[in-house]
Order: sequence, then C-alpha cells, then structure tokens
Amino acid sequence: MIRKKISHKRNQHKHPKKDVNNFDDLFHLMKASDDFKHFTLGNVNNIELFYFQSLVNLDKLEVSLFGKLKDAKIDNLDVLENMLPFSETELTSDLTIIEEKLLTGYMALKLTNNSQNILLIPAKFEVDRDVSQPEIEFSVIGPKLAFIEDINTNINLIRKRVKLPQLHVKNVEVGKITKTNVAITYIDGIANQDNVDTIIQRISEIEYDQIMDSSFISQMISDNSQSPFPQLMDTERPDRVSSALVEGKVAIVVDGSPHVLIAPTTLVEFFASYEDYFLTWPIASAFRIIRICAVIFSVLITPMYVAVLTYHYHIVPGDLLGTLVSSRKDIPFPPILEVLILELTIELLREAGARLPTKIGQTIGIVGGIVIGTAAVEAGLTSNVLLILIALAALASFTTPIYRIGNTIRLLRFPFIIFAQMWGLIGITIAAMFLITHLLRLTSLGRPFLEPLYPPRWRDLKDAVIRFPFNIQGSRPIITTATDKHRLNTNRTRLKRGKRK
Amino acid sequence: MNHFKPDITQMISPFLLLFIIHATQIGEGILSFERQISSIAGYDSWISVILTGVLTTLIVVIIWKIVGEEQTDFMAIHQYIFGIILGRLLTFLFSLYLFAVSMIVLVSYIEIIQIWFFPDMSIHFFMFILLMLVLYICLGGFRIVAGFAFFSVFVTGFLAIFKYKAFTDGHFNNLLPVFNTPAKDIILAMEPMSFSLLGIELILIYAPFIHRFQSGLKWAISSNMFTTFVYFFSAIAIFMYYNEQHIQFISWPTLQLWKVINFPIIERFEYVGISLHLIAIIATSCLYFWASMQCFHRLTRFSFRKISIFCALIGISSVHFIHNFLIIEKITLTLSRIGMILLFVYIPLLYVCHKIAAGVKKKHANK
Repeated sequence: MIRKKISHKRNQHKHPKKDVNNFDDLFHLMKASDDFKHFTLGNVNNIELFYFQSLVNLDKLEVSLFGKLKDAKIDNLDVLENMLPFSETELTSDLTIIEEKLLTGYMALKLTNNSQNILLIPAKFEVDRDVSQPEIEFSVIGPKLAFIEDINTNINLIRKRVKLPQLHVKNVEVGKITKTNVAITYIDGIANQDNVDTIIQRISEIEYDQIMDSSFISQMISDNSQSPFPQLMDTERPDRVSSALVEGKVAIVVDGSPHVLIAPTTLVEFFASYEDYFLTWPIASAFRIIRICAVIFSVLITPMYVAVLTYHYHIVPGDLLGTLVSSRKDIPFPPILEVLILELTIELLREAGARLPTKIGQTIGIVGGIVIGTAAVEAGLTSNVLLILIALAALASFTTPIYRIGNTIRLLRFPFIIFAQMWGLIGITIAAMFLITHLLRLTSLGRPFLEPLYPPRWRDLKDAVIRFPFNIQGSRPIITTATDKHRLNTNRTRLKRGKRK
Repeated sequence: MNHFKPDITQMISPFLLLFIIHATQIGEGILSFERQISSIAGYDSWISVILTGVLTTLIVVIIWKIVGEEQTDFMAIHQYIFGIILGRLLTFLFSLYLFAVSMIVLVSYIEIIQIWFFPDMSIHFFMFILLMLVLYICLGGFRIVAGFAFFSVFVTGFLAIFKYKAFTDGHFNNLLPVFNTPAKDIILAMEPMSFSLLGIELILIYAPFIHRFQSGLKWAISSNMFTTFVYFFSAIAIFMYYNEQHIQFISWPTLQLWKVINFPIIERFEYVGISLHLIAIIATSCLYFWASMQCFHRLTRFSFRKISIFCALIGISSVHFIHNFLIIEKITLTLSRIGMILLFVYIPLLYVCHKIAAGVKKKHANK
C-alpha cells in the first residue's frame, strides 16, 4: 500500500518532464538510445526512416524496401503505402500509436515536407524459441507440446485444439512500464460471463509497473494473496488449457510467459495430472489416490515421528519400538532437532538442485543425498529410520503434477512439526484443523476452493478423487457455473441392453 | 417482525443439516454416556436411547413448525411473542447458555487430554490456541462453521468403526434377558440420555442461513435418527464388552475399549482416538460459539468480529475459575439440566405461545 503511494507520487513528478507534443520531440527522446537508427532515402532524399535496430528484422526489409525506395520519387505517403508490399501498414499522426508501434518492431517512414503523417511498416524481429516438450508437466502418454513465451503462438496452440468461432480472446494491457499484453480466453456460450467479467475487471485494475510473468498476475488477482496455496492453476500444457476452456473455465495468457493461468480452480485439480485422462479410468483413479495419499504422507510423517518419539512411545508396538530405539540409541539430539536438521538438509539439496545447471544439479543431488545421508547416520547425528522417512516424504512431495502446489506442501510440514513438538498427536490434530479451516475459507474467483468435497457436490465428485469414465460425466462441473451445462447426451452413451453375448 | 436475511454466500444447502445437527450432538458425551444411563437402567438402558431419539425427533418437528415458512429465528420469534424488552432479555439468557456450553465442551475435553496425555500441561496456552482456532473458524461465517462440522462427521464416523472390538470380544448374552428393569427406570434414564442429544436447539439460530429451510425437515430428522443410531450402537457395544458393575467405575468406557485395539503399527489406539475426537469437540464448540455470537451481535450493535474476540478473551479467562474436575462436572450437569428444560419444556411452550400470539395478532389485524 505504502509502496503504491510512493510510486504514484514519483510518477506525478516525472510526468511533466516527458512531454511529447510532436514527432520531433519523440525523435529526440528516442535518439538518445544508440540502437535507434535514422536515415534518409529516395531520389531527392526526402524520405526519412526511423527504427530500433534491435527490434527490426533487417534481412526482410533490405530487399523489398530499400530496393524500391532507392530511386523513387515520392511526394505523398498514400502513394508509398500502396506501393510497398506489406500488409498491416498504418498511416497515422497519433503519437501514442507511433510510440507504441516503434517499440514493438515497426519502422516509421516520414516525408521531410509533411511533418505530421507517419507511415508505420511492420518488420518484427522474432526471437522466440520453438515450441518444445513440456518440462514440468511431462507425460509419458499423450501430446508433448508446451507453451512458449510468445502470446500469439500460445493462442495459436489453443485455437488449434478448440476450433470454434465462439472462442473469444480479449486483450488487456497491464503494467505501467512493461505494457504487457494479456489475453483472456474463453468460449462464449459455455463460460459464465460473470467469471470473465471478474477476471477482466481484476486484471485491468492491476496497479504495478512491471508484469514479467503470468505468476505476477496470479498473485495480484487471487482472492487471498496471503495464502500459501495457489488459487489459480498455472499450466504449460495446451491440452490442459483447451480442456479447461471446454469445461467452461477462463484462461489467462500473458505475453512473455510460458505458463497459462486457468480460473476458477479447486484443490483437487492440483492433484490431477492431465495424463489421468489418457489412461483408462480404474488406472487413472488409482494413480490419483496414490498421489493424494503421498501428499498426506509427505506432510504428516515427520510430525508423526516427532510426536510419537517425544510423547507417545506407547503407541508403537513392542517389536517396532525395538527397531526405533536401537536406531536412535546413539543420537545426541531430541527428535525435533533431528527432524529439523534433516528436513533442512533436504530442502537445501532441493534448492541447490533447482538453481544449478541440470547436469551439475543431478550430480550434486546424488552426491549430497547419498554422502550426506550416510555420513550423518554413521556419525550418529540422525537415525536411519528418520532418514528413510524424510527421503520418502521428499519423494512423495514430488508426485504433485503441478509444481506450484508442491512448493506449498514443502512448506506446510514445518508448522505441523512445531505443533507436534508442542502437544504431540493433539498438536498435529490442531494444525490439521487450522489447515482445513484455511482451505475452507479460500475461494478461487469467489467459488469455494475445496469444492467437490465441501460444499459436497456429487456431480463434481465424478472427476475429483476418482476419475469416472467419460460416458457418465454428462455435464460440465458445477464450479464453473457454465452457461451450457450439458457436455454430452448421456442417453446415447448408455450401454445397449438385451444384446446377445 | 424484523426479518433477518443473511448474505447469500453464507447460506448452505438443506442437505448439510444432516451433518451439522449430527456434529452438534456428538461431543464429549459419546465417550461417557454409557456410564450415566446404565447407572439408572442397567443393561436395558438402550431402550431409553431409542425413546429419547423419538422424543427429540418430535422436538425437531416442533422447531420446524415454529420457524415456519418465513424462516424466522429465535430472536425474531422472541420479540414477536414477548415484545422487544422481554424478548431481548430471553434471547440474551439463551445466548449466555450457548456461550457457556461452547466453553464447557472445550474445558471438559481438556480434562481428558490432561488425564491421558499431559498431566502438567499449561491449560491457559492450550485454551488460547483452541480459541484462536474457534475464532478462525467462526469469523469465516456460517458456511465455514458448517464446513468444519461436515468434515468432523467423517472423523467421528471413522472412530465409530473401532467399536468393532466390542462385537468381536464381547458377549451378547449380557443384554439378555431384555426388559428386566422396571419401566420407570427406563424412563428415568432418558434424562441423562437427553443431555447427549442436545444440540437441536441451535436450529432456531441458524434457520435463516439455510436455503429452502422447509425442505430440510427430512434431513434434520434423518440426522437426529442417525445420531440416535450412533448412540444406540455405541451403547450396545459397551454393554456387550463390560460388566454392568464395571462400567460404573470407568469414566470413559469407549477410551478403555480403544486401549485393547492394536494394529501392527499402532499399539494403543486411544491416543489416536482422543486426538481425532478433538475435531468433533471443536466442531460442537464452534457451532455453539457461532450461535451465541450471532445472538450477541444482533442484540448489541457491536460487529461480529469484535464481540467474538471479546467473548473469546472471556473464555480464556474462564479457565482460571474452572480448574477442578468437580466444578466441571457440576457445571456440565447444570448446563445439561438447563438444556433439557429448554428443549423439552421451553420449546414446546414457545410453540404454543407462538400459535396464540399469531392468532391474537391475526384477530387484531382483522378488526
């Protein structure tokens, strides 16, 4: 809040300085940069040409533009516009348009005599990488395409899958300085107009100077930005986005970001991999249940260790207690310290692995994991039972298909550990209750975040913990409050009765 | 009559009554009611469980009649019948009772935790954390309170499974012969039993928060019957497992039963059980706390948030005075008596008064 106010004040100071009244002022402003080029052409040198060298593809222009203009004798820009073999040229005298276009890879042509009208020629220099495989949400089966940093390519990837004239794209510009292009994509007639309006309103109300990635927008428009839980799904898979659009959700594509946001979303969706839809339903459901159990295990196992070994050793059966005691007999620390040391080590390895280049990262992971782990046990600093549990918990936290919720789960266990140290199992229950309440209070675009579980909606439960077969999922999820509720005609998907076998 | 209309985002579907009413009724009582009823009617007291269930179902129907089509709540009805001053006074007394119940539920569970887990625990700090949790839930509004109650039912349901041990190790012959206690004792045993079924009086407070309230009657009745069934099931289990005289010496028969259960990784199940049952306790306490705050909030002009924080502070300081097992027992008994009078005497009376008042006012209107 304070920061916003300060930045606002600063802008007010700066504003009168940057006063641009005509093209000459703009020219002087831009000339200060060395990559801004300016030269004259034509028979009598009456055509002036302006462009940013770093934004313009010169190869494309040299043949068509320079060749033609070298000896041309032109008095009028209209004639020139018709002469040149470019589409999308624009003749204007509006300074804001000229400024914007010059900065997005256009060239400006101007006649020396006529000072106000300017011809803008597109000559964009494309530097985006090619469409490649998904890195985070990789799937063994199914399409292997991921979004890239260019907004047009991303919308193209969505449009290729949803061939509908009703697929609408609404552009909004955000960020005072970066002027990032944000495209709100939805299917008209399926998506609820309230959702679309809310998103457009929230995005256009964003007050910030730079929008570098979709995650900036995700943090600024989510209902509760204090929560560690992501309330908008971000994905790099075009198939996932297209499928969400068909369900009636809204996608937010941000220029310069390879991740597309989907809203509204629910907690269970973060545990659904898109690969689940490529497998048959019993297998997919089994994997989903395994994933959810893994997450619960990952959050609870180390707090349990602390609780049981600090307070409730009675819970452990005699045989197991022997193993535990013998593994802990030389350890000088209480369970809580032991757990915190190992948890932090794992977090350290994970963080280092994420920051280092891939090849070194893997080596560090293996060396760090094995060497530090074994050495810590041999030195008698931690018990090997705990080492196994922590390694399993770390492994389990990686099973989430969406990376962002994985980070949340990483963080979540620390309050649990502290509560377990305070009151044992009771403490864990209290922490769990705080967590449940927090999840109950969360909303995504005003829709409950725990949706198919609470409020209980049986129709949406068909694709929550268990993914039921396609033919019985006859309607779109309630969470999206789609205008067109019915997905398919369930009468036609029913099995024919009385058929001879 | 002033019509109180809650925000639509806080309203819930009538189906959830099934969970809310059950969550309000199941509290600490499920762990100890067998001792109380069997001290009066012995092994035959399971009959009183069923009779009480039938009686409370009747009260539920009466409540539905009182609330009527207009979805009024307790406060509006009081003012309608008794006028503004007396009506407000009665509502104030009622909300004091609700607040006291919400606190005593927490305090009496802390006592169990002290006995089984940590004899030298700092109650003040623990109560502080619990009330933070209660506040966090209640300030979220009724939808959150109901959501918490919804999840708590699954926990108690899960815990109810573990009474299976009584059926595998118990003796069904304990219950036979049936009807060898005098009918009078069976009727008398309904009194302690009805303590455990308290909680339906809250419907009068949260009635405006339920969509299509009238259609919720079937869910409310099912919920009450479900609770009765859970108590019945629990009573049968405990009577099969324990000797009639033995039960009198055990404060919490269910916890003693859980002690026997062991799994390859859990030797003493009661530690897990007590921890998980805390969820049900918090749910009950939250519903009562929310209801009393709702009354206070509407009686005074303070915001819901302010009055809740203020009452939570009173709750924490109340631990100072309730430090003794005997005091807790005494307060619980008094509150249960008040609750029983409220449920079986006051609410039917209110219904009659409501009918009369409605008739009189109608007559006046016609004139």
